[in-house]
Amino acid sequence: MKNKSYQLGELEELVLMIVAILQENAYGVKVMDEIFDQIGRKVNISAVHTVLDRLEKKDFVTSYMGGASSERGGRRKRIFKVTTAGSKAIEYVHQTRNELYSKIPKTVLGFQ
Amino acid sequence: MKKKNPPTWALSMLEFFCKERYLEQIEGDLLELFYREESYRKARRKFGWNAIKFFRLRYLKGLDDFEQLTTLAMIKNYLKIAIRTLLKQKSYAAINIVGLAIGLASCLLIFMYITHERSYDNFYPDVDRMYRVANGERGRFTPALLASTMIKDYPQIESATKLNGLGDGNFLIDNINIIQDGGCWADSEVFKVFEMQFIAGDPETALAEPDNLVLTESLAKKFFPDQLAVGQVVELDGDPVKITAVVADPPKNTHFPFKFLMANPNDPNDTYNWTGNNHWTYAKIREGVSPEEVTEKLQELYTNYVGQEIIKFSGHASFEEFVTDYPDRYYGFTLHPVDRIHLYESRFSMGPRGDYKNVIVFTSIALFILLIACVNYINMSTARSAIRSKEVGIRKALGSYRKNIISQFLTESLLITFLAILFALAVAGAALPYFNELTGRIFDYGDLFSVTSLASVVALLIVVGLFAGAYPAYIISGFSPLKALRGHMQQAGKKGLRSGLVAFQFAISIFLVAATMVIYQQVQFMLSQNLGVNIDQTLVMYNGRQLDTKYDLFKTQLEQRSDVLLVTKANGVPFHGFGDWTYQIPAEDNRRTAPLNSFVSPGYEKVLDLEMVEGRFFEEGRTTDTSAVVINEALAKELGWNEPLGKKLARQIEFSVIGVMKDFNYTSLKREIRPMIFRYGNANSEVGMWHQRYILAKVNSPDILKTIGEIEELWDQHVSDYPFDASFLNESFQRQYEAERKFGQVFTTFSLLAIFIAFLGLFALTTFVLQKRFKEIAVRKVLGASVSSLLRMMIKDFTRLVLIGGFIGIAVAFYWLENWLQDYSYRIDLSWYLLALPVLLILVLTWMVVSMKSYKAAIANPSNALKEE
Repeated sequence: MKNKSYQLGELEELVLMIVAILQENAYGVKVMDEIFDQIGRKVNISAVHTVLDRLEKKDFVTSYMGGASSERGGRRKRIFKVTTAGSKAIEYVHQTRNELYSKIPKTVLGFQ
Repeated sequence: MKKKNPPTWALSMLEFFCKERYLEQIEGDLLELFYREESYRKARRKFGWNAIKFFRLRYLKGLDDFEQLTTLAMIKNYLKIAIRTLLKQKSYAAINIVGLAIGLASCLLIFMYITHERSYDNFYPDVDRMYRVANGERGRFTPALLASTMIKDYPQIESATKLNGLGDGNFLIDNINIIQDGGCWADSEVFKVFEMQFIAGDPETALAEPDNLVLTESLAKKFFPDQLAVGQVVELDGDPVKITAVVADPPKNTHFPFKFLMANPNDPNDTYNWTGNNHWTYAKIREGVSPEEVTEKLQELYTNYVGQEIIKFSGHASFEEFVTDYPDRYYGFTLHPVDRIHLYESRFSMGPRGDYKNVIVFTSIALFILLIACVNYINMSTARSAIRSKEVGIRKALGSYRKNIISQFLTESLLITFLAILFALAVAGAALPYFNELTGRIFDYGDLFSVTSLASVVALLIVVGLFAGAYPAYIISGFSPLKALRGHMQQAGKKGLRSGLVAFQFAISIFLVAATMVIYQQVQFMLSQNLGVNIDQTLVMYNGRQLDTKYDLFKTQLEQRSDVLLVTKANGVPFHGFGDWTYQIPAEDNRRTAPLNSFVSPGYEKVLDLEMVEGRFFEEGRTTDTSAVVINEALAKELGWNEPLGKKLARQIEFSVIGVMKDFNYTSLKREIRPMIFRYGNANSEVGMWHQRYILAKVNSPDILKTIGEIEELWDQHVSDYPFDASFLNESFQRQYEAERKFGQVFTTFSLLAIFIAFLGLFALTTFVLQKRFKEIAVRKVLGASVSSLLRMMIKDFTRLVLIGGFIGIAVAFYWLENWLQDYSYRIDLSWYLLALPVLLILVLTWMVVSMKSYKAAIANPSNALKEE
């Protein structure tokens, strides 16, 4: 591992990318919905919160309090967005995956 | 669309546990999910479930999230500073912690001991209705018919039982002889009075037949490791008996620690009379009945039954007349609560005997030790307060309130106490086996940790921590910041108080030393008394009854040996207990007396070196001796006989006095010598073969073990089914003082601990005083003071304190020890040197400690101390 600080869990990686996709619109429920829409995976809301929180601690995302809405019983959203470190992490993960992928012999992948 | 509401419990739960920072977003998301769910019920269920899922460590409120943020931060800070202070003054902290730990460990152990002593028999659910029935006001033995008559005549009595024991039984199981102690002879009422847990068998029938035997669980396992005990037939003292039930072992804290119960059925033939007192009676009274009411009924019962028997002998027309003639006795039976037996009426106990006086003494000692340790803390922290006066000044200048500073110092004392408690638990655990030996009880770690439950440890922590810390904290927090910062060293507290506390420590130490010495002297005194009986080289063989008619042969064979001088038999031997029997004096209006009674044979007086004052002892071959008695001086004195020879005493038949024996000691010197009577023992006497219960032999052998081994071989030839058991009389004599010896040991141990802690404190205090007077000593030296004059100066202060403490300590010791010694018929007198010696001892120790520390300061080169400025 070249850079330890880019170490991400599977769900963390997923949520980080989703936050990047959603741009300025990423908050708990939205992220959960988006994960379902994009790859059809159901994640519990508490798990999403935990992961977002963890990503924030690692400085891959940052957050601010957004506007309130009636459908949320007057509670505000916490909006997440990807930081520079977050973008780099996505970049790094993407690159290493591609590199590794390219090294897999074609015979292994060919007949699936 | 109807209004949808999320479950309120989930919302309030979230609010309760969730951190403020996360709460809004979580609630928002949950609500959003809730409102978009179509099914209301499903939405509510999901909301609750999701809320529960947020119960994760990262969202939980931490200490920082509660209201009083500053208080918590301050406590953290106090603790931090306290730890730093401790680390900065390691030796001082160590002295305090070690002192407190020893004090607390003693407290824990003694607290455990007291809890145990006070818990005796409390486990019986009906213990408040259970009573021991005494004959008269104190008598242990009651008539056999008492228990059954009580039940029959008085509805106030729920149940009553008569017991005999505890004694040994000789079991024969699978051809192996086992002598088992803890045997009680009882009737089936015993299960109604003493609630027992039956593991097998039925309480109704367990002791119904005369050959029934009940075992405790542990004994059943011992006898039959891998079989069911119930239904087995074993031999007990030669008779086949059937095991009918197994009961749970009685707990440790009982005065009735039986191991097996043997049937002792009510005799239908009524062969027992009302004047023979051979049984112990226990009763349970009905709920709502007062013991006073029952005691009244028992007086009535006494008149109805025992009284009628008495007047048959005495010739009075009615019992009332008899009572008028002899009014100086209590005629009746009395009730004694079972849960008081262990500590207050231990003569009734069948198990380990307690003494409430010991409980008081031990509690006091534990508190003394703890007090000394606390005083050390108070002294040292006020003495060292000067060092911290700048700290207090700065704190105050920065806006600290007085209460903050008090909190700081209390935190420190609580921390020290906390560490001391941890240490104390370890010390108490390590000392447990030794403590068991001292107290003669069997405690295990379970007992220790059950008294040191969390609550009591926390209570101890707070009490001791606050007690030791309160005064120093109060004083130090009163420092003036201005003076402190201007560079004035402030010494907290008055010197007078500190001196007073040191004097107080000396007083306790001197009291303990004096008490230890006096107790030791008293025990030595009792051991060295001229007993009037020669207990050296006297072998007592037990179970002589088993020899039956083979005794004469056994005696002849023994006496043929060159190392055995003389052999005799008796049913009463000094230091093994005598029973009292009632006799009447026909010539004097059938006056009654109850001397200690023993059946003996010729030679008894020679083996024990008893001296005759008048007349003669029993002699071999005189057939009339069976109707003769020998009395001791005490009996002659009690009866007021100046010329006792030829006087008559009666018990069924008349006996004439043929000799008077000089008083000799037969029991602990705690007691006066009671009147005694000796009768001629043979197979036809009232006690049958029990007259040869003990066989006594005077032995003079260079190799005592070999002699005993050979005597045992001889015994085995005659008695194949009962093992040989013997001991030397002087061992039994020493056992009399076991309680005093233990008491003395406890006193010595804890006194040493107390003195150790006190001197630990003195050592630290001296060190500190010297540090403060470092410069003064140097200046004095420069000006020409000699080393010895400097030492004298340092010693003078402490000498004064020892003398003041000594005065108080000795005064208290004198009062208390006089009181203690009053229990002993044979006692030492408190002499001046017994009281002066402790003061001298403590004085010398103090001088040693003080001059040891001071000498170093006095011989130091003064330039070292003075060059700094």
